[in-house]
Amino acid sequence: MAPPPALVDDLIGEILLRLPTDDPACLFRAALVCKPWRCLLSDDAFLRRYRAFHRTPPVLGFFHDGDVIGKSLLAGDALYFTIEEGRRILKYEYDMVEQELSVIKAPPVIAGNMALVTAEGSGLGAAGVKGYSLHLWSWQIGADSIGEWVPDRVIELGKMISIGIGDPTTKLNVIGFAEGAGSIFINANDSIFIVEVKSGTVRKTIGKRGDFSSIFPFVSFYTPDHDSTTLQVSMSME
Amino acid sequence: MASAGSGDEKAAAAAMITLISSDNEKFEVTEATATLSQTIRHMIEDGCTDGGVPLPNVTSKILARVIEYCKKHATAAAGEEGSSSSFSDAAFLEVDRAFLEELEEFDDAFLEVDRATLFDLILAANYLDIKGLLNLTCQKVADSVKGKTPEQIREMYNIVNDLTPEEEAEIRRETQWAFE
Repeated sequence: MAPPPALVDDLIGEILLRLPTDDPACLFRAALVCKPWRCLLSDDAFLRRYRAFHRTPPVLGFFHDGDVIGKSLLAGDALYFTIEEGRRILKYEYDMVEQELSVIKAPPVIAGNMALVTAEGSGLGAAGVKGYSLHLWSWQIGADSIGEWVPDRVIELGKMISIGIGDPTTKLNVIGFAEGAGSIFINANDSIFIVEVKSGTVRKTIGKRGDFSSIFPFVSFYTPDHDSTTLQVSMSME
Repeated sequence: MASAGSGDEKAAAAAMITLISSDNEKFEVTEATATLSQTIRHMIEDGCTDGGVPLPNVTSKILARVIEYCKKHATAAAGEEGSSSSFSDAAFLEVDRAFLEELEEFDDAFLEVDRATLFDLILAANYLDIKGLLNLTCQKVADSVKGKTPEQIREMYNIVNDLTPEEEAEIRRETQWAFE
């Protein structure tokens, strides 16, 4: 059989546009085929077309607005999303055969003031602020196969960052987590601090640029990115 | 009035267009069949079809298949128009349903071709701007990619992997769940 003729990018787009929405992994495998496919699949214009083409998004397709479902995290063999402003966590288990959804209670922190993180051993973790301390939890399944949040570590931020301790207007909020890099983003008095989970170090990134209530460390799991080694951060100013 | 209208339709249906493949083979088709292609429809509207429509990008082998598709679907389109005027008639709806099923069967059989032919059909559907055919053929390729590993996809479609091992490792690391 003669090899198929080469298709111009436009037509490859027409094909990739028709990849099924009920199997998100399909898009990632396609992104690994070659550079042109990868570029197409991570192109914003293409992804807009993809959403428009399929009109109704699948239960867990591409979400970019944080209204109902918050940020996502891949840990172990499941994808997790915060829902109900961080009060609960939606777990999406995926394998080639079936998909399963379940809901996990958020760890005991102030609602909305937490982020899903990768725990040690690459399982599901959570980071939340209480006062000036950053608490890390990991989700562990006990012998009775009931999961529970187990406190991991506490990082005292008050000693490490220059903020007005004791000032009642000082509020720390966990606003994001960068997977891979393992960095937790914290907003305090209009500044953003990055806590490196591994080393426990803290650095300040942005000063006096407004009130960032939410940060999206950009790689959403359904959109393969061009250059994931560079941490691209987009701010949502609300 | 009504009889004059149907007379016009008959005249339009009877109008023949000659399509000329890249290897210089001539195909006579009705205007109804030819105008499934937006490209040809525009040429007809511009009055540029006297002496035939040369299609230098389409071989006779592929053009024959494309015409086969257009003939079937032009009949389907005509059938739809006919039934819409008497949609209250249950018998017509029944005929419609049967026809749609037949059309689906036709499409399935039509797609039973090797990959090279399928790709040629995509290129032709794109060049001739035949939406239904482009959708059908592209969907077929997309379906064939579903559930395949990147290696299998490359092999199927003769694609050279130009990602560096580092890039590949990076994507894999991030999206491990997609490969398990």
